[in-house]
Amino acid sequence: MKKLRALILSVLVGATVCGSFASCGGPSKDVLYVLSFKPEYNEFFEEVNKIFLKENPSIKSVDYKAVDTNNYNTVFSSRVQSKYLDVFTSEVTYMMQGTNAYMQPLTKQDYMDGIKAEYLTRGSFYDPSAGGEPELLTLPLEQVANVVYYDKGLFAEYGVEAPETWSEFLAVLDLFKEAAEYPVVQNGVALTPIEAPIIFGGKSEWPTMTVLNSVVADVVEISQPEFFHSIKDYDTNENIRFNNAIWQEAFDKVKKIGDYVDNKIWGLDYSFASTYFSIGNPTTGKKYPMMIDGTWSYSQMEATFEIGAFALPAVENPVNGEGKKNLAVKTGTTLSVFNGSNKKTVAEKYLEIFFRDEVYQKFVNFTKTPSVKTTVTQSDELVNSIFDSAKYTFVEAYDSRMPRYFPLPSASEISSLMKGDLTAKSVADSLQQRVELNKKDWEKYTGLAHTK
Amino acid sequence: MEKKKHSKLKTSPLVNPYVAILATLPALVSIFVLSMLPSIVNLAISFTDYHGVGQPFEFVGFDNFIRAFKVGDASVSIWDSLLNTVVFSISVVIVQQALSLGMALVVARKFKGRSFFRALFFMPTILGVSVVGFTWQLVFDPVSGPIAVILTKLGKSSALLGEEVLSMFLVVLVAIWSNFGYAMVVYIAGLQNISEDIREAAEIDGARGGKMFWYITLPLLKNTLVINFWISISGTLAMFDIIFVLTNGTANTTTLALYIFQLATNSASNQGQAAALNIYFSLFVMLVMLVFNATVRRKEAEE
Repeated sequence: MKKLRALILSVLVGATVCGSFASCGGPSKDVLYVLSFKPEYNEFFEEVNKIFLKENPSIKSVDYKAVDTNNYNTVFSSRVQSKYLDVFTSEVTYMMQGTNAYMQPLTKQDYMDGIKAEYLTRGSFYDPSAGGEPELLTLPLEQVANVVYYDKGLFAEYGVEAPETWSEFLAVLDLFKEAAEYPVVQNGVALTPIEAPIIFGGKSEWPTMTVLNSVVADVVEISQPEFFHSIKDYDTNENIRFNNAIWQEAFDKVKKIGDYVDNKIWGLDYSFASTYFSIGNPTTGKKYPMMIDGTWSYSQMEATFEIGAFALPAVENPVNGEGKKNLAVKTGTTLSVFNGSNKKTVAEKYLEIFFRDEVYQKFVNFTKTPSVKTTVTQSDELVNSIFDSAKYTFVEAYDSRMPRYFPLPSASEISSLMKGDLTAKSVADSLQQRVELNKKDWEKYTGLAHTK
Repeated sequence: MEKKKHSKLKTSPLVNPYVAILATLPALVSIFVLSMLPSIVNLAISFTDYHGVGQPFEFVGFDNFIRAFKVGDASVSIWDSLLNTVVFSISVVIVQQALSLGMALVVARKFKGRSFFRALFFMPTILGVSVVGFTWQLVFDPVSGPIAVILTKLGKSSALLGEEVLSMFLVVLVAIWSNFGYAMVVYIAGLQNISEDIREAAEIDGARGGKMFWYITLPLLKNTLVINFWISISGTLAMFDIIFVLTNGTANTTTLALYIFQLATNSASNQGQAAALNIYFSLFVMLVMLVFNATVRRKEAEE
């Protein structure tokens, strides 16, 4: 009886301790823990997991978890602390928040030579603290761009083309805004009714940052091209301020675009926006001619019309020093090995599988993103027309190019600006004030975000 | 015989102090690990410029506490989020308690289908927050949700969750809907504790309907009311999840809890400042609860 009692008590104490510390023994040696912020790529990841398990018999299973971007930071932090992590996806914005502190420098391997050099120059792909030759921390899987999608058929019906300048863009917006108020009849035939000129997921707010990124890529990059490279001279260069005339012009233009946004959009969740762009408003039967978004949503669209895309023109002469237009881009997803992993070598094999030509070709086809490899090509015409280096200069999107811990305008501020609740000056002044307030945090990373 | 019983009780493992300690150990360890330890760590972080696990950080003294009130952006300041917290909490607490008490009075009566209605009203409480959030997002979809369809037929349109003022009202509505079942069950238990003899005596004295409720039921439910209000006030002041999934603080619905979360996860990711604000927030909740307790005690003394 005494033994039984002792046994029960031991179990009780053991369960308490184990329960309190989440688990006994920590992460398993025969499970590979993979964390992604791209649930829409699950199907593809599952395929890679199968190949990986087949080739690595020492690993019994892959614990693959994909969470949406809203919750990724929280889940990522808990995985880092518990060490239930081997491979994880990241992107440049997360790197700004310091995720590269958890990236294991990758062992140089032959397959990495196939990755185009220009894709390794955006964001913090290298460890700046390593002495000697900088060490590669993460591998880019895809590149994304901030664009305006449009319904080519609808544009043709209304007799307009993709705008090339700011005034042309405003003229197109005016045309569709008027058509939304007063349906157009031509030669006795009613044209397709318009709900509103533009659609995007306003309730989620962060899509407004794509508007800001596009405007900054023109207004700031063309008028003050040295701005971002001169952040390191912040203390000595008075022109590097976020409330200068150029930034106020950028915020003003974002506000102007807000004049063409239907009020309903501010209650629309991001996940529904591309569906309504594709099918129109099912209640009224009216269409949205344009959608502001990133290329990441293209693979999810199921439109019955031909989709076009253009870089939002925010200046009258959107031509840079190279004689081309600017397009705001960023590295959409990167793949890394966790530096606290207890199976780093085998985790690196997971990355290698991703970059095999036959596997990566499937990824490129599945995600409709441009290929980062010289040996793999993208066949989608729209993707190739967006990522056309003869037409565009790819500039790093504003929200992903700043040094680590650098304050950005919040999505809430940009939404309020577009709704007309804030002025361009108040947003610019508030941003500048926070840049000063947090200077101690970001100045030590100045100039390191673009190392190499 | 009694002596024998006593000695048996004395040797029972239930009164052994070690057993008592071991029996409470799971709860103690859980409270320490899940509540005390994070609070201690939060306090420590508030004195640093901490940005995340494994990142270098320095001791900054009371800097975060001094800067805590300056960290907002142009759209939401800490004062806006404080006001939103107060509006949200007062609305939810008052309406939720009135509704759950009313429902409890109805379903505590004997009628056919009583159990069905009790289960129906309690059901939202057991639904996960993400399920509640996603369901209501579909209802409030401003383009093709059921409310949008009705509004369109009436020739109106609204951003619903994207509309300031209205969005707070809708969030309050969902918060009440998802939690009133819990308070209702507590009120039912309170009502069942009221002796039938007292009711009958009151009825003989002529108490009916409103008078019965006001002079008999309500005073006898006082303890239940206090418990329910206590749980509701502390819960709504710190409520985060339902607002996070419904609006993520857009359209002026950012409460203090959400504000602190956003501060910790934005591009500047200043977790030291967020930790300092957390402490101010805890003190605020504590102050409100102390005032509530003092008011209850004063009322008790008056009676």
